[in-house]
Amino acid sequence: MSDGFHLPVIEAENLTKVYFNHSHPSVQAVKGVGLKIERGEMVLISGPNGSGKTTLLSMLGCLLKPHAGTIKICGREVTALGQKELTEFRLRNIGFIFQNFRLLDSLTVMENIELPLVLAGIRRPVSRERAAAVIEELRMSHRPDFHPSVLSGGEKQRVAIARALVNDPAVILADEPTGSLDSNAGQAAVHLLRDVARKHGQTVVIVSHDERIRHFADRIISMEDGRVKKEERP
Amino acid sequence: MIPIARRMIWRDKSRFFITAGGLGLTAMLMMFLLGVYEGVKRGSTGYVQESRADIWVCESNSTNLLRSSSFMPAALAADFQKADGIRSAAGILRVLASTKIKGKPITLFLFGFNPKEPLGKPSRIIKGSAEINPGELIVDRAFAARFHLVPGDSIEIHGRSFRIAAIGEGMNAVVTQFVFTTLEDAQKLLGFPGVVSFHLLSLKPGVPAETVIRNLKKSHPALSFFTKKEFLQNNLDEMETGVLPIFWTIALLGGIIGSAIMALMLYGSVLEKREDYALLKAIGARPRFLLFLIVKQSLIGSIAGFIIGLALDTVLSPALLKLVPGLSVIMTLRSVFLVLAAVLLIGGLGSWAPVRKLSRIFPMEVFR
Repeated sequence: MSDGFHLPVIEAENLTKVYFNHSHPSVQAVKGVGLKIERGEMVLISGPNGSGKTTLLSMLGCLLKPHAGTIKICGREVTALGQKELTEFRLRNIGFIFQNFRLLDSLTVMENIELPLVLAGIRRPVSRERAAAVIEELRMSHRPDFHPSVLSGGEKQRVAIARALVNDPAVILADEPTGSLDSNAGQAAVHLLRDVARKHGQTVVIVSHDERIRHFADRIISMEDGRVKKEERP
Repeated sequence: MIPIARRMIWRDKSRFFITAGGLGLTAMLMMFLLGVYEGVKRGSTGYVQESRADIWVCESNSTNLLRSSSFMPAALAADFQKADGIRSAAGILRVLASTKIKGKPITLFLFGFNPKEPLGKPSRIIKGSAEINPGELIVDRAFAARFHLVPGDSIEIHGRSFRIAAIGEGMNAVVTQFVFTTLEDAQKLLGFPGVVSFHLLSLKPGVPAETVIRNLKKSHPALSFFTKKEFLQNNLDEMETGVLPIFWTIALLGGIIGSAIMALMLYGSVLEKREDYALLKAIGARPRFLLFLIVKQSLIGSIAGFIIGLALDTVLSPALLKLVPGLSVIMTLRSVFLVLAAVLLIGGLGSWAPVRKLSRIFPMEVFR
């Protein structure tokens, strides 16, 4: 019997993505990948450069459409959605964390975190209140009015995590979240991400080369040449 | 709402100020042109506008004061005076007079009027009196300033010396100035005594001009009759035919340059912040939000440009008028709003290319 917690949040079947280039032969970046990720699970997708990890993450994040296969997120088949609906879906259901943090330098820490709420049309006092709560949870409340340019790498990544969490998405996708951080800061960031996501029952998919974060994952999916090579639980 | 557009602009202050400055110069150019246009318009039509005449009479096929020839007997005034509904009638004679002032050849629109009649006098006299005597002139302030003339100075016209008795305003058509003398002197200069160019008629209270014109046309079929409003419009149309195409061309060029400046600023900004826009798309910014983000930046730049233009125009126009006293620049609230509308339009046009560029940024680029 299902307890509700072990229902798949992400279900992908037979995902295929081909990149076409006029001057080069086409490249099949992802070849018939299928996976199921449950609610609250933290999954690490690893593999060498060119193995198709980021392409897979982009498809799971509704940023890229597969040429074949289907993706269901929270029970909704996203591969059938149009661009407008996909934008709306991303806004409500997916949080992103990127290697280079991708914070807007022109905004303050607080405003960067509020951004997804503002895009969702949530009014300022409410969005500020929610962002303040996440800032507090991620121990960044001492620098809400600073601009990202004056923060350390670890602090920037904490702000990026806060931004990904603030609208309480079901899924958080992280692309090389430790790639721009030193060893300690990288581990601390992933540790924090795991704790907060677990607390809120959020599913986390991390794409990374970083071997040092393997032990944070509930499951590790290794990719090679666009296929899932193996799956393991550390 | 987070003021993202303002923050994005403010992040690169020098680019913003260069753009706003460029747009400011465009706005200033437009304001200055509109000011000159208004000055020419009022200078060209002020005499008709402020005349006490209800009906203007001219030779058939002649329609305006500025660029049409009209000659008729001065004695017709007595006929008109007797007609039903007419209170008074007076003739004026327009002569194109060539002269040299301080060695510079000048063409004047010389108007001869009867100083004893209430009709035909220039109304805005700022120095001296409109009750001039033979051998005297009334000149415009801009004309006097241009040639450093004061009441008491003399000008030689067609070999005859005239003394400046008064200075008026609102008679500066920029390309030429209206100068007034007595009807008798104007007739002598033309060499045809007993001739006038226009008859000005004023009506008894409550008499409709259209009825009087209908009756006069029956008795004087070879003449043209216009109400004051019609004659004013004829003069305005004539003036606009001459100057408006030039003004529009310059304003259009200014607008194109302004749009290019705005497009360059925003296009460069979109390219530079390409990854920020990709991020916004990735995390769920709707196309309309992004469109407004660009348009808002454009509007902020446009409004800043407008304010700079207004400030520059306020400071530089008086200085320019001192350098070129023959110019007449009149700034109206309508002109200010017109320029504001034009600058906003420039902003809108300038955001077209950046918006197109933005539409081609893919959210996937955030992974670069």
